[in-house]
Amino acid sequence: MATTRRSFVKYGLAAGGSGLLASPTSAMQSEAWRQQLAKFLCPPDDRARELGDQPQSPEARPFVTPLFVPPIMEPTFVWSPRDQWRRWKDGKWTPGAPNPLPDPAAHQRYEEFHPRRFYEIHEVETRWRYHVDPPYTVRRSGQELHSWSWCWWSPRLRDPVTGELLSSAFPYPASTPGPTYAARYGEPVLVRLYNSLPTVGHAKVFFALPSTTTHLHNGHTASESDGNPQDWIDSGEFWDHHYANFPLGFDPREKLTTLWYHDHRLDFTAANVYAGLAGFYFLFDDEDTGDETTGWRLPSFPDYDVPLILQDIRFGYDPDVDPAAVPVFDNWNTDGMLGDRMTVNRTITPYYKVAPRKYRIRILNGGPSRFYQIFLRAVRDGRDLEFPNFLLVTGDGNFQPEPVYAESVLLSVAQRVDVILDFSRYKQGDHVYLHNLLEQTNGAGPSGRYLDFGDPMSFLMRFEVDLPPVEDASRVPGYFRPLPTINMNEVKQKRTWNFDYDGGLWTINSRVMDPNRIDAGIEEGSAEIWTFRNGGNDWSHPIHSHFSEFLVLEVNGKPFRRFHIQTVDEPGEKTMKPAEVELEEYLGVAPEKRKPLTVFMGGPRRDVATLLPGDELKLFMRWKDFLGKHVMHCHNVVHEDHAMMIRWDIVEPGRGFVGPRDASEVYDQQDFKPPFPDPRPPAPPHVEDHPSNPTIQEG
Amino acid sequence: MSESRRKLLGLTRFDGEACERPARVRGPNADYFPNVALTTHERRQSLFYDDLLAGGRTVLIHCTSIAQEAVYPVLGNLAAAQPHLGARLGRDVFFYSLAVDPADTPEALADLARRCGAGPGWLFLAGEAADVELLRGRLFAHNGPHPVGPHGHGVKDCSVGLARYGNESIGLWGACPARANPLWIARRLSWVVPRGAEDAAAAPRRGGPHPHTYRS
Repeated sequence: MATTRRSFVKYGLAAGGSGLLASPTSAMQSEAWRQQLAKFLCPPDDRARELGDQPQSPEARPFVTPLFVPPIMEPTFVWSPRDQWRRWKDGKWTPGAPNPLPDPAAHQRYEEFHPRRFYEIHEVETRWRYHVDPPYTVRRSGQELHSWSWCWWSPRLRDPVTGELLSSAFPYPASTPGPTYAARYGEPVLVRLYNSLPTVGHAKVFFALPSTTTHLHNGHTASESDGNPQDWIDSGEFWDHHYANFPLGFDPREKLTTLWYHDHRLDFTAANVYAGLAGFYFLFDDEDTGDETTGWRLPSFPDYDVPLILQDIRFGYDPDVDPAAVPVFDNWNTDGMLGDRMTVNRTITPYYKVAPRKYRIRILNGGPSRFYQIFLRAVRDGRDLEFPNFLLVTGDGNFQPEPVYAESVLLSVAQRVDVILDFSRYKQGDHVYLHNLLEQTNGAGPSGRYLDFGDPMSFLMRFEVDLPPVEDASRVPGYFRPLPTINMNEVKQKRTWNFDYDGGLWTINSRVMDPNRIDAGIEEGSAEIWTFRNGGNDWSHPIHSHFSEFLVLEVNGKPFRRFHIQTVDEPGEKTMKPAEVELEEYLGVAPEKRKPLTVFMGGPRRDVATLLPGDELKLFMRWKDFLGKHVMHCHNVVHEDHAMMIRWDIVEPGRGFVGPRDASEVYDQQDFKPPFPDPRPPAPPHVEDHPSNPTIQEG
Repeated sequence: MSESRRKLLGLTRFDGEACERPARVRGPNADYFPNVALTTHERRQSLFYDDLLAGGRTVLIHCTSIAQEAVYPVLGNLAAAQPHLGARLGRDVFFYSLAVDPADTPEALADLARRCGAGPGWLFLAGEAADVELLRGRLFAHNGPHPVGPHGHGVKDCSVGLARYGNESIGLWGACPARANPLWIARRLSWVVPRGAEDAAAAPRRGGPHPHTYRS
């Protein structure tokens, strides 16, 4: 009985799913079918849809679509260091300079970090090729049609393969993920971000809100440039983001490397990122130079330094509405949403041709809700050759003190790792598969079970050793950079955040997001100890706080020292119990003799704290250099949109507070704009004189 | 909806002459939302999709019951949001409070509406238990079992604290806490109202940042 009921629910939803795209005509045709189904429709029996219950995406053959590698952002204008100040003071505008000029008064420490490079980037709606087969790619009268998505476009882009400027007309270079920024420490940039999306009600991607705010994830960025959820721009507007590109407190140990940008619109982050608004931002410096002949000699950018964003997407296809398949968004499930097509850089299970040499691969879990545990498998002549380990150099954009070997990497949403893959071990024609073996059937978190290597859902992409051998000057040093000191004398405050659930809302300390409520007033120049506690036993939360990195002090009550790596005991058990491995035992051991970790879950410094069921993490954080509002939230973006987010502000030293406080108590500003202004002209003022004697009224 | 109830309402769909109302433009989620019959607190029969969602309305939907309101009050917050909507409430902006407790009769809901000071455009909706459950399951899908919250019974249901807002004619839907700041509830509704296409075509305007100091 249960199965019958369940399958009816399933078919009912199948009809509902295709109906997402239904036009009046198709609705008329399907009316009889719908009425027949309606007899059997019943409310969900306390469990909402899981991935298997949802209509399947159209078939997509694996490894036939080439991996998309995002183009590289080129500045449209470069300020010369000598005259940057004069140019603004005189109000003179020179050809190519930003028009209108940026407003120095709108940015903190603008003159101190005067931008050197000016970038222009547009959010646009266009068709994007997810796969080469129909219905993802449809040929109509000699033209190829693809799936509607939200992409990024810039007037100056460089091809990552040929190195040439992409000059072709709009919209060809518009892409999702967006172009990759190659920024450098010590070179501040100004990014002018245009929202060139259609206005509300005119977008083909109807589920997302064409009102956006772009957050630089991991960036040490002032509040006004950070992409705060309430700093949005509507269609036809632009926002200047000033990225000062200096490490926190000018401490070189605070440097970061792999950052990414994504939309952060209040209530619509999941929809807008799912629509395509994400991309990479790399930060290089004198050690991590992006050139394999200098510095640490890591593989060169962009030829051998490739970003991968993992996103799972579900597609729907209705030829009456649109000739090509389109991503389908689930608005209604508060636990999170899963897709059944694994995309890497928004191409479905692609292949990527590599040369037999070392590559730096930067892997990002782009969400919206899935957790990944990635593995490698090398295949020669159709037979498994080996299961190579990952050689990790960074976790969440932070260089590990030493490279780490790991059999697998657990990536919760927004987590990143840079790994060095050495394809020189393989012969021409060998394949290396990237797998995700962590099973997840609903948005709340991993099921605790593992997939087989043969499971079609486990395939993410394939590296094909196919290019001719080339010189490989790259090296992997045995030591990168020390971690910042944990100095308890800096600590001004201890705070505990409890992540829970209440009445359909995901809560932090029993409260939900209110853009006007400040839950923590943090003093500039201070450090704090934050304890994150997962209040639930059957869901997981990847917690991210803007602006500054976490230094892990304790995991579930056990001290987590500076050379600890988080991993798990007994993988494959129903509950994954966090454990840690001391890196100290690695010291003095040759890299190839080190015992690899089973699972890398993050090093001692990171910006996403993965809270598995029942977990508690104690973290040390620093705030320096800027003031203003920021947020801390769950990076399962569906949880974030269902209000699992708080606002905290960096305030002047001596003015810190525990909170919550209303923003009006802390700042003087009042920005009351009526959301639905009355279009009628204001009533004329009462001009009659007040009668001198109120009892005498003239007729 | 059963055929008998449809006849009761004097409605027959898609059979030409007997069709009393023109076929409306259907939004992208037309097949997802059940078109169940509901009774408003003004004792008017309405079809959920055809009468309450279609026609370009911007709506906010949440679940309520008199018993639940006593332990998890929400309606006062929506009442406070009403003035921010001005004349739009009842014209193209609507609040729908879906009564999920079968014990709440339309009379009791009318009384509740009066006590909340519900203006035109704020409707309390009751229906047959199965229809309401179906509707709630669609609007507030959840992956139980979530434990009972600190407010006692009913809180395990994910439709208690959450309100959906959106405009079905364009298929744009968001969610917010039902107890969010009233001004921000009104703001959220203004985000999903369709706008003119010309805004995107005009010369780009500076949206920000604006001169501001975080010094107190």
